[in-house]
Amino acid sequence: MSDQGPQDDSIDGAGVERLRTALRDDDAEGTPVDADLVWRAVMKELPPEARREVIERVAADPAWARAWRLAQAMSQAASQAQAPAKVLPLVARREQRPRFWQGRQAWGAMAAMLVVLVGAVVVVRQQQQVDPDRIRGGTAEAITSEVPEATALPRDRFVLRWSGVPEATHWSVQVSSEDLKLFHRVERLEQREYTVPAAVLAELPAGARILWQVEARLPDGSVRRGSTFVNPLQ
Amino acid sequence: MELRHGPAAEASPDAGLETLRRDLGRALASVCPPSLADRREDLLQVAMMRVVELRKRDPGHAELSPAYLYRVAYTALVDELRRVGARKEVALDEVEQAPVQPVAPGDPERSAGAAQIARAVRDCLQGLVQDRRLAVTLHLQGHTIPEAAELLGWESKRTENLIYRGLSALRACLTTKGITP
Repeated sequence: MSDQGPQDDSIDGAGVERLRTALRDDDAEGTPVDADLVWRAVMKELPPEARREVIERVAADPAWARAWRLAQAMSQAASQAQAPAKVLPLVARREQRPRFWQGRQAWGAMAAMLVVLVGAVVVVRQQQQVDPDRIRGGTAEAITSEVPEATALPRDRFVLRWSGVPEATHWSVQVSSEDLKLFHRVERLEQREYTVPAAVLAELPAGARILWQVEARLPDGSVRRGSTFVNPLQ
Repeated sequence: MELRHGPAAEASPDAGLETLRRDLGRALASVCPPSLADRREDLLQVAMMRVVELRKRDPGHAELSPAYLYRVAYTALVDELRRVGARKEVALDEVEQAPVQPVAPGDPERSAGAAQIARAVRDCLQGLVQDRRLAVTLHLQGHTIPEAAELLGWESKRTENLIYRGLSALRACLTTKGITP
């Protein structure tokens, strides 16, 4: 049987691809996923019986199937990212730096590429000149920036303001630079406003784009998170 | 008010963040339904922030392995996908109450067709005997026969046979639902 190709009563390769595409394009919500369980199944950290139980969920539930595909893609990428570190200790890596594309210089270059990449995304967003809330699903966006996106803010008065989610009891704000070297977070704010301390921004050059995101804490303990907003530093 | 942040000088460029971001972007592109295409940047940013936050919290963050960081990013993405899905449902409820048409990203006709086929596939899978169901499920998730066999803990020949027979049964079932694969 195993040496037979697909016949009329089976599904050929093109048919399988069509089904895979339909499963991927399906945006049905499904039930909450135990992401850790799915990851461990894909990584074969669970025994076969437990893996089969997870695959049963994947067969029946679109959210579990989506999580499985994501885990599959991410675990493959992780194993590729992991491989160089396993092969050579730090000293050996230093010695072989010129022949080793994962060396520090290469990482530095890639970090620079990240800056360019994120910058390009930001520029495209600004050039779109349309309401980002509309682009991202209209009424689903509950937290809105009260700071115009193109407005540069002074280093000593980098004041973030937002609106929405009237039922929120308090707020959290995350602030980062485009290359994510700067990361700053503040919790339990009671006002819809936060002034980023000048010391936090001290290392950043004028013109640096600052990404910020607000989370609303609701009375039932749940969290509602807004989009990422961008404002440059004066 | 609680504050925590890390100085920029501490972060070294060897973090592999760019690689992680690239891999996340690729994974999202290959997994996300078209209706979530306009959310990918947000999803990506949230996952990356989760990773960076973890590294800042952990004084020994330089020791965190790529596998661990990818796992954190993955978990953040699954959480976000769930959150986005839930908010979409909330938004639809609101639309039912108010006569305002939302801007629907993606191609609604394509999404509806995909949803119908996907629902039929799930229904039909439930009608298969268990071993075939498991093997075909992994095949439809994109696994090769050796990968599926390893995940299921079975021999490759047996897994291949189960996939073949399972696909036949799946085709028969889908045909009764008016779907020709």
